[in-house]
Amino acid sequence: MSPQLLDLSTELVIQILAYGSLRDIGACAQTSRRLYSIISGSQYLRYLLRTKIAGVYDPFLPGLSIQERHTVLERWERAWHSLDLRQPALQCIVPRDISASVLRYEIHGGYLVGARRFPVDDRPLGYNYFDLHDAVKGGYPSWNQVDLHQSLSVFSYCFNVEEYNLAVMLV
Amino acid sequence: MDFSRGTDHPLATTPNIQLQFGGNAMNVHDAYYAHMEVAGDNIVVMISQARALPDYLFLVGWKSGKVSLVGFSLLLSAIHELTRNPRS
Repeated sequence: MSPQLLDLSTELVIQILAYGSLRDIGACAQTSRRLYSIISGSQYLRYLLRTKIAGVYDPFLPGLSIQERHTVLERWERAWHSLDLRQPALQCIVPRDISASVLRYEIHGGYLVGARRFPVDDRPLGYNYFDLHDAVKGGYPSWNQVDLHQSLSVFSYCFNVEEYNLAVMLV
Repeated sequence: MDFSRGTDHPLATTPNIQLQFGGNAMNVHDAYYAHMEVAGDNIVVMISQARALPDYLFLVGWKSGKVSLVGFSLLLSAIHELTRNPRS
């Protein structure tokens, strides 16, 4: 005779339930007192349910305990609840010495990058950037400026800030 | 180059790489359209030229400096050759 679900150890039941959808786990919790007790008593399953409700995916990379993951998720939920797009999180004023040229903005890996171009012929001159996370925390953007050598006639830029802190110029 | 400092990138063995085709250096400023994107350790460079000139797709290993021409428009290239040597 094959074993019944409720005959299995609690750890195995938790592992099986972890594969279920939000609806499946909720339905299982209503079928028996033991399953309800397993689900409500398992921090892991409660965390999984909460991620499913929040619509987030956690690949469970090592480094954080389930309790810490709960705390991070709560912080994430609070941030979303208090988000008000009508209130600017940061007022970004372009310094005068930069505004002499045309700026084209891009966001790369948490940085706001403004590619400076010469107003007359649209020739790229260099770029300015600031760290958006730091700026929101401090309430003020601290611009950094990168000038290209004047002998370079740059055609196009591309950046890969998040992985390699890389800027590529096509000249 | 290094995004934060604007200096040569510490991981790139050859920070300045020249794109060539048929032994001639490419002049991107003559191109109709050029686009590039970083894909891991490579940069994909697409160069499209006006009218009957060939289009190029280069794969540039930005760490190693290795440049590969992975494709170009054969049809347009053939037209280009014909227009260059109309009697052949």
